Amino acid sequence: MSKQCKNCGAQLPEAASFCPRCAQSQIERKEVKPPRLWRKKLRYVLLGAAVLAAVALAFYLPNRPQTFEGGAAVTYTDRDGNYDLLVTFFPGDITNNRPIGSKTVTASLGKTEMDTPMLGIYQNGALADTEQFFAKVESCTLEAIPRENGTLVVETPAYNPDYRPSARMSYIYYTGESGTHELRWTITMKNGDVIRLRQTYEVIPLAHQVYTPQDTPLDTIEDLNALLERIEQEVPADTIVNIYLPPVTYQGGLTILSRAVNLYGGTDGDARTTFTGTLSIHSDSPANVMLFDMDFVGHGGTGLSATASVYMGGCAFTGWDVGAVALDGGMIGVERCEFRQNGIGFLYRSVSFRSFNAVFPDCVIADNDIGVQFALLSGNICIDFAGSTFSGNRIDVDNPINYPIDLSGVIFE
Amino acid sequence: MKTGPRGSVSLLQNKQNGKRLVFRHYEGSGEVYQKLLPISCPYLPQIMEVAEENGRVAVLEEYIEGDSLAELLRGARFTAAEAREITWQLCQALWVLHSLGAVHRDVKPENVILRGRQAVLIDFDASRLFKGEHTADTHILGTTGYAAPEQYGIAQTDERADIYSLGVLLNIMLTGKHPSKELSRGRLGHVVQKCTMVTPKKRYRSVLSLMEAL
Repeated sequence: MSKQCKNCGAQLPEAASFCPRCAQSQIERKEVKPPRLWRKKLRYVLLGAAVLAAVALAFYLPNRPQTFEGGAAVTYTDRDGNYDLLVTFFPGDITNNRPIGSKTVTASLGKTEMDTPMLGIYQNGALADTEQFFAKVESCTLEAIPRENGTLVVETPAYNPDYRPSARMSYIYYTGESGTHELRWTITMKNGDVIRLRQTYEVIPLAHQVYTPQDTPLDTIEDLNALLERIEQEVPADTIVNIYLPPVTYQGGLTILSRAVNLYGGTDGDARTTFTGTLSIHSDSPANVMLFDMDFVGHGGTGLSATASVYMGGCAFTGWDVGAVALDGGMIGVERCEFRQNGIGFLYRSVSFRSFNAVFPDCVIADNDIGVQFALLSGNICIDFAGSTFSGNRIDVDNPINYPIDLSGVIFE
Repeated sequence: MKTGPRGSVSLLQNKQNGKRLVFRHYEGSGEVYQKLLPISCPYLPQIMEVAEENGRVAVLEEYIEGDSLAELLRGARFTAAEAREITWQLCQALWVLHSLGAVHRDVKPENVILRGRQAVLIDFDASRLFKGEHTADTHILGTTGYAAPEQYGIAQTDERADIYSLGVLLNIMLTGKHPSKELSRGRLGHVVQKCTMVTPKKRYRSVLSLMEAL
């Protein structure tokens, strides 16, 4: 076997790699090169990537969004410093830097009550400039998360100047069926940080005990005092007591001590339930004493004197030195009430109270020497008299303490 | 060109075109030349033909025109950049050999021809295919001073023996002396030191590692 030279055509052995005649190679050669030295380059690339990652981490870590979890208080830190946030249910607790992590209230089944969880912010031990803080806030929400079945309605937190120094406050609505909820505040900052605060809100349903003229003697003040004494002894303290009174005139005073009862006046033609003596309410129960549709007719003295929380609607006070007075520890909420021909129709003389009524709607304050007098009242929640009418008073509103009031919706005749 | 106890090297010239070739004729193994036959590498001579019979080998290879490193080193030193470039090119030549499973075993200035700026590694008479299972080389081959310790029968030689010799060569290009006499300074001195460690495991693992270090 033989082959020809690719170059000169000379006859060559089949296995020849070389032509001796023309000195040319007869085989295909493969050029061989070492691989690229990628390891060193890779090392540099990895090193560069590591440096970049370190730089990125050094930038990212101090600035990465963080979550600040707290109970009723938490400290939040950003580039401007430390902020101490707290949640309460009353402006005074914010003023005193006293976080309230849990609250227990009572409510009747089916009856809607309201409360005001609120948020306060401190910086360097003093109340912070809340607007400056909220300029950095993306959103502020409040959720009610039930522990068991039950509903608690929550409004979106907002700034309300009536609840200063709170930065944000919300209204929550509950009934005796609401049960226990976690109130979860979530403040999302524009830089991605999230601040969470938590409160526990427990609603204890109240049992009811009802007394009516049909089943209980209620014709005289003695009957009424005897009933109150019996209730004090027999009815558990957390039971709501509703007493429906006949349209009679009770001669003499009545004192409600220790526990709350609700009195519902009766009507028969022009006749209404009437008290001619002083009604003193000094209950130490957290529940309000409710008074509806009764007349208080006096000849001097005080018609209603309260060191507890009282709410009354459709009541009329006539002929008293002082129609109704909220003494220290007490607060009287009024609606659709009349104060006529008294020395002072309604008198605020209280600096500490469990609840506060910021409205004074649809009342008639007429022919008094002084319609409403603010002698003492703590806080700065504005009281709105919208819908009420003042007429014939020597002084409609006497406000020597310059308590904030809103008379823009008042009718002066 | 050269005659020795194991064979001879002659320079041939084609009468027709005047092309010069090297003819090697020696006793031993031609397996490495056979492997190089189809290979083209600028830092190795082209092998034109290999014949082997009864332990005698005949090789025709490209004639590399230029001066040997040994001649250039007489009374002269290379700069670090020049020495690094020559070592780099020899690494490429050795990588081709090593990738074929061969060890040169006689890297020294006489076996390096500088063709312009190209260093070409020649003379594979001492080369062997690396056999991992052998515990020691059968024959002592190589050149005293350049040969790695394991080439003296201590252990089977592998590519790290060539790394040792290359380290010695690099040091001689820089200092004119064996590293045991005078080690080159600077970064290349560290490279020489690692190339010439007595224990092969402590040397560069491969010529690629050495190239990276260079």
